[in-house]
Amino acid sequence: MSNKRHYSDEHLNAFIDNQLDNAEKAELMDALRHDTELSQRVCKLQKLHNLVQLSYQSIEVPERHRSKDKTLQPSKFKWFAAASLLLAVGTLTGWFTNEAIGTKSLYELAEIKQSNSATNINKWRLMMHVSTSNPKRLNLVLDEAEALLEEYAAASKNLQLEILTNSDGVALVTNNHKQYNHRLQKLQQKYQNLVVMACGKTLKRLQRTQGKPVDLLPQTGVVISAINQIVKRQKEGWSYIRI
Amino acid sequence: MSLLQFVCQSPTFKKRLEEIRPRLYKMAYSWCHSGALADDLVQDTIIKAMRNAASLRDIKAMNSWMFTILSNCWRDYLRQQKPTDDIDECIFTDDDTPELAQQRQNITDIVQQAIATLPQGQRQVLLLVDLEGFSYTEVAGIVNIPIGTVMSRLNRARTALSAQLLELKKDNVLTQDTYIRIVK
Repeated sequence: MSNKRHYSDEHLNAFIDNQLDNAEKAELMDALRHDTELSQRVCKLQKLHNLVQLSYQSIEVPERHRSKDKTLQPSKFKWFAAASLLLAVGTLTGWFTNEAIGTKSLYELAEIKQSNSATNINKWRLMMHVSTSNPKRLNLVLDEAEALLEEYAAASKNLQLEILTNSDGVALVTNNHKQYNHRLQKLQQKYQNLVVMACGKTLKRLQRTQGKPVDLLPQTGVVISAINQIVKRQKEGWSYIRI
Repeated sequence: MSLLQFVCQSPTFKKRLEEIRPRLYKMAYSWCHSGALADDLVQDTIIKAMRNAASLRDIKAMNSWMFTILSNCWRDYLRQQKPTDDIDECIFTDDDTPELAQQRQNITDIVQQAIATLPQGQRQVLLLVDLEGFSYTEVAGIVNIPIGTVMSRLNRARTALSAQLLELKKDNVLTQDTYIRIVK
């Protein structure tokens, strides 16, 4: 009895959850044959495991939600149509934003654009797209984002802001640009409605040229490509501003 | 070319997305115990998965990848709820009424109630292991905690459950081993 090995609860849990290797399993099985107390402990754990499984066995996805899911799977043809639409909308948007950028603030522009699309009256959804590493532009993105988020939070209005970076604009979200990193992370911590995305194609290209994966900031999402993301957002009724 | 990628986007991905959905829902439900919230979490998870489909390099890893996204969505939700979160929320009040007493006879309710009293972290780990059968390493990746923490959370969760379900409540149907005929 004195040479009986004591097994920790963690060890027994690992046994129940099939996390032990064969040798450990065999040893424990052997011990179980001779040790009633040990076998009771294992039985208790196994019983709990079964009870938990049993108690959620009957949870089913409600039917109505399944049909909703279908809308999340756009057909490929829709994407083609959207891509063609992008050519028109993107060109026009780029043209107007470039024209107006000197005279109006981005905030005003966003408001005008969004009010034109009657789809989301109570919710403001804005995408800021940056594709240059020009410090002036990158700081402008952060300035405008901060101002918008602050203003909306103060007025308790609903805003969804997405900053999309591609090409050289990825500098905003890579971990080696302290001057932007710190500010962006602070903004992300403060505002849940700010999402930052990087273009997957750009990242792949950078990885190829640098020979190592790009070190992105922790809360940065990766999209397949910037173009796709813009098409998608436009389709969903987002305002789009290129900075 | 990303458009090409979309066109060629593997039907396997969408098919598996469909297949995994009920399991995601079940897991989300077990974490939050609210049908509507579970549905929202699963919707968010699927949207994020579709949006970031390109970052999934190996379709075989899709299972734990999806649950990682779900776990992140859940964490984001909890963060948003921060101001209203209270430590007291973790303790289930047990006002004993005849209705509740009757309800307690149902094994599912008993277990779900007991699970609801566990702290979020423990509950999440326990259910990932027990419901989905994820390995400890996978759970560590999904929840983004060290494997040692997975083991200790799991142990604490089971100890607490054991105390609630198998030891303390001697009048509980779950402990009435000698009256097995009732279960029949």
